[in-house]
Amino acid sequence: MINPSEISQVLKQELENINSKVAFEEVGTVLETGDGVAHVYGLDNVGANELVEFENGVKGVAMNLEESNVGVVLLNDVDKVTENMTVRRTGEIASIPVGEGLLGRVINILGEPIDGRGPISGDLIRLPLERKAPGVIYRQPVKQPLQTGIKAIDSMVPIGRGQRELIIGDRQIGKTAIAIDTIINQRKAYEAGKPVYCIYVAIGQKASSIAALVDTLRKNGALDYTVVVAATASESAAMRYFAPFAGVAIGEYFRDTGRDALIVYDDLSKQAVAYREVSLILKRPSGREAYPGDIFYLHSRLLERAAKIIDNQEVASQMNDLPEVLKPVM
Amino acid sequence: MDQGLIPRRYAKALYEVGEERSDNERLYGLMQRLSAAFAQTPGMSATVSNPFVSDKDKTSLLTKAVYGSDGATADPTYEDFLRLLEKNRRTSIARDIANAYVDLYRAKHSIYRVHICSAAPLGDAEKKRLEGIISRHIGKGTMEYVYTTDPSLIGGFTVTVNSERLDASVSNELKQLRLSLIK
Repeated sequence: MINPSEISQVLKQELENINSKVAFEEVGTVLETGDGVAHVYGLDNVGANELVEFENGVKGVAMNLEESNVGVVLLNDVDKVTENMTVRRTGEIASIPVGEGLLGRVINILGEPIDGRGPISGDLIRLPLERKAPGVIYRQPVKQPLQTGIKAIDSMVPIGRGQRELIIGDRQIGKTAIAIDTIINQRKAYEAGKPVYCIYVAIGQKASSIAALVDTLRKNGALDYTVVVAATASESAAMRYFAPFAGVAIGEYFRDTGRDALIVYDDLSKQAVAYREVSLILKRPSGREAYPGDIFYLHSRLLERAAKIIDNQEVASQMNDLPEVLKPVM
Repeated sequence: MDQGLIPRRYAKALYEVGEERSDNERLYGLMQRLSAAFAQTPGMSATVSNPFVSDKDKTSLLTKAVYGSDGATADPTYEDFLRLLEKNRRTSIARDIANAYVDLYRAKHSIYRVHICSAAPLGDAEKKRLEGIISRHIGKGTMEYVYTTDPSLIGGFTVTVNSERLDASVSNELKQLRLSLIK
């Protein structure tokens, strides 16, 4: 129920805040928009990957910095951006709110819950989607196994913590099943008090498949320690492109707070397709099969962020260049 | 508006020649007049880019647009510039070159074009106060003030300097209020 006095109170507060907010800000104008990308004139000093905000509150990421315009990839409400709209710089980079409250939830790349179970509770901090991978001195050698619970894998091709492993194969042979089994099998570790938190990133899958998968995880009690990041096939190419980055940011939250995490990207070829789509709309030159030239760099910089960090707290705390407020407590 | 690569190259070359002949100040005035002529006469762009109009006629049009009909105060650098455009068949982008030159000159001489748009016409005292605030914000450099009115702002004003903008209008406040209530 809306209380009228509350509204005027809100209005008053907002008006007070607005008066103090007037300052010079850097703006641009939308020249053209379409397919989830807006070309913006102005924004002279915008940085690569900087978050920009349109006048109606839609957010975007500056991907292409050209001499005459800036190519902005829209993150939400793609159809609400029109020609001649004003865009302003935010001075921030794209980030996602992360915290313990994400466990057991299904979220989109903006960190908004999409499972209909209300807002995400608990303390949340924002971690950037794009972040530098840890350097050599911060890493431990791969020496501790991650038990998948699948005997054939654990005995013949064991997976170590801090390692990446490719699951490759024809369709319908059970690639997703291996990943899901591994997540479910972490239940024992969770019960033993040494949890391996799991993040499942679904990219370009059917919403029904994701619903079925979440149901399976819930039935097996695996959702207690799992976060599902979903960018379904119907979502914009930008959302599908950023989904793994959102997932890895959550993984880094667990990593930086000294806990183990397993992240599953299902699947990166769909992300590559989304990136190709975005790149072609941004008029970037294409290479083989129209994939952009930096497609390998896209995946390597994403996968390089997986790391088992050394035990030396003093050195480990210098690992990233995040501002102090963003640094999780080690 | 951005002019593209070719006009910028011509503008840069013209600026450099102007530098050698210490003629840039005059050229700046001429280019502003050329740009204004294009803005004030809508048919001029079409004429200049019309392939049926001879290059000679286009050149004489561009000369008259800047000097007026008598052509008394001829500037040798500007004449050379027009001859070069005619030779390279680039008369059609004269407007873009003029705009690019003006931008370049402003950048080199730290001249800021400040566009102040208010809901109602401003008085002299208000203008003076605003100009004081703006020059304090920008620091060194010369300001060129342009005043316009736009009733759709409802109240207040906006100040635009290059791609920076200060929006102190009522319409913006209402917009912000709406956004924060939606959230």
